Amino acid sequence: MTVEKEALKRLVAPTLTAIGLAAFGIAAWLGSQEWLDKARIEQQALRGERAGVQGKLARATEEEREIRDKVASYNRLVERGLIGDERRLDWVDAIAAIKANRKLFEVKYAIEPQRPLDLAGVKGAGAVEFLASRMRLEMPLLHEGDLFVFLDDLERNLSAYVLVRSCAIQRTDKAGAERGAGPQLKADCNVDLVTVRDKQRKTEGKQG
Amino acid sequence: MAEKRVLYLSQSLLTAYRVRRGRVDLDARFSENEEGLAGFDAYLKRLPKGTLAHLLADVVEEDFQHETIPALRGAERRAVIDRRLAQRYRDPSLSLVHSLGIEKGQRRDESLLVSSFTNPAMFQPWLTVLRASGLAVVGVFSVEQLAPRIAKLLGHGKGATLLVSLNAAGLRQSYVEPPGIRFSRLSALPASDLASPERLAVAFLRETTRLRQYLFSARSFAQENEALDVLMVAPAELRPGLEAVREESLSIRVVELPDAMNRVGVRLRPADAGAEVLYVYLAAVATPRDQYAREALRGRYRVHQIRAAVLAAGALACATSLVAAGANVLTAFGVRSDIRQDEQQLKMIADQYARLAARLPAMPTSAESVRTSVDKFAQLERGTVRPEPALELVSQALQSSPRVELESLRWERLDALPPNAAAAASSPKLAGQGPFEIVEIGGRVPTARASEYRGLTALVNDFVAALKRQPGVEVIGTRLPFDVGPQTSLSGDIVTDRGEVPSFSVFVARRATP
Repeated sequence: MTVEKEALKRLVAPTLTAIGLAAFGIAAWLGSQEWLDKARIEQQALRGERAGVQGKLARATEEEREIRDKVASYNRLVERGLIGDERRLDWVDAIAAIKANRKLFEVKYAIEPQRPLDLAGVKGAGAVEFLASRMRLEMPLLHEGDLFVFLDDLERNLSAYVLVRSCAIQRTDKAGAERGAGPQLKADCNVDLVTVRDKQRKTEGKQG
Repeated sequence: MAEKRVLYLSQSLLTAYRVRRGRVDLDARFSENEEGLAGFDAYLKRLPKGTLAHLLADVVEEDFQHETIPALRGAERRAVIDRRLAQRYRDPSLSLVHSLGIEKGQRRDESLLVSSFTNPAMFQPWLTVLRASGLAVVGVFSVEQLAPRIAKLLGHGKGATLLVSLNAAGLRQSYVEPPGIRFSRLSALPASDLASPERLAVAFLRETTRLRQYLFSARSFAQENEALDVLMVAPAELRPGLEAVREESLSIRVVELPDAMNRVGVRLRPADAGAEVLYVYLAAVATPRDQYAREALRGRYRVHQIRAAVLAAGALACATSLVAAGANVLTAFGVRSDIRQDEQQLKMIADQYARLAARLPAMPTSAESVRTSVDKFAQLERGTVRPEPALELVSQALQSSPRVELESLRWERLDALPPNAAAAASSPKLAGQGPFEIVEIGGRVPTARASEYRGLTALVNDFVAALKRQPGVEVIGTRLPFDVGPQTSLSGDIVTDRGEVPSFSVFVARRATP
């Protein structure tokens, strides 16, 4: 064995030891760094959570009265059936009842499929969605007051918000003696029946 | 820490010392003969692996010369020095060159102090055994290399001094001019000088005076009248004799050996050892950077140095990382402590929130949904209009036009004015945001004939004027039974009167007021 080889052999153990020492130190440092990073992330998350709760607390304190009022209003809307699923069967019953009560000649209606409400400034946000089902009404009238009474009754009795979009009233083409007996006018209206869908509501209403 | 052995070589004896912190222990002595060399070989083989060996020579055959060479660098300088050494010594294999600096003059010359063992043959048997032993040989040193450090440790200041010590090999005299050595010699004292302390003191003075004269003659010591500063390391019993000397040419300061050992850092020494323990100790613990041997002898020591450097690098990396890790751990403990405080604060805030929430009515949904639903619903209600108010205004206009009969009404709620009403949009009545109500009024005048176009036009215009008088109402278009406007074509049949009832349309708009 040459001196160089012997010398190299004598350097193997210290080199390995040095590498081991350095590796141990670096591993310890990496481990401590990871622990520190983890602690910092935990701290950041906790501070975020604390800020969130603090914000909620501040808002809740400021808005306690507002929340009370608004919850009452919200509950009233729920009671009226305006928040929740559409109750089309109830609507049909209500229209029939109005016709009978008001002794109207005839009420023809056609309700279109539900879609998002198209009205400037009224858009849902977050979990709340404003939806409308357009109803076309055709009804012969003795006089125009019948139409307005019918619309009033709709507003009062339907579990939906009634938004009148358009109404056309036209004289019927009757002449002479015919004029005095039957309907004198014909009304043709488009009405949006608006309901609100709240995906976060704890108890959703059922189809009526 | 590696084991260290200092092999103190005197004229015919090699003494092996084991040096540890603060102590020098005698290991063995070997004479320069076959038996001694065999014993030396056996001794070296018994030493632990990795032991560092320092050969410290304290011999008479040592020469000091001043040389001047041209100021050169690198290989050229080395070549000039080698040539000078070869010229001066028969065997310059154990030589050492100290640079004394560049001389200031017209020629830029370098001044050198060359020291050399003049009889390398006396080293060879020992070096051969050493080389064969496989031990790491740090180098071959001379006691003179350690004299400046000893002088300094013994409290000598900046000036030149003669350090005199009684070593096992004889009386060692080293002329020190800080920071280096200028001259050194060993005087073997005859047995008669060692017979009593008084005679030894006389020998001390005799040799010192003799050396002073040599230094003066060699121009190392310039002023003949000036006293030579002498630092004597002597056994305690010599002190009275030496201090009794009244020699004007010498300024003597005596340091007793135990005191000198204390200053150098040696606590324990072999019982029969002299001042050489000072040199032996410093050779091991403050090893001079320069040494006499060629590199071939020091191969294993180089390996030892590399091993030590590699291990030191590893240890340094480990230590640095551990320090950084320790700092991280401390910081992490701090962060954990903050987390505990944050958790307490969070709990406090959450409790406060829970108490407040308990006072609030039961939430049917999220607060955000409640707010959106209620606010937007209020907006929906504000944007809702019914046809009755607008039709009421039409009815009022009709009252001032009794000849006009209403045929049809079309009411519509729009968020913006229709395109055909763009011209009317500038009207103050319609300024601003919607929603708007548009009413199309279809009418006729049953009591008039179509041929009465002037009267008809006046009647309809009266009706339009009546509409315009209604609050907030703007007429945005008309279609007359007999349109005389310049924008339309006009035609007629004056002869025929078919008896038709003339009809017309008026379009009105107003901003919706729920």
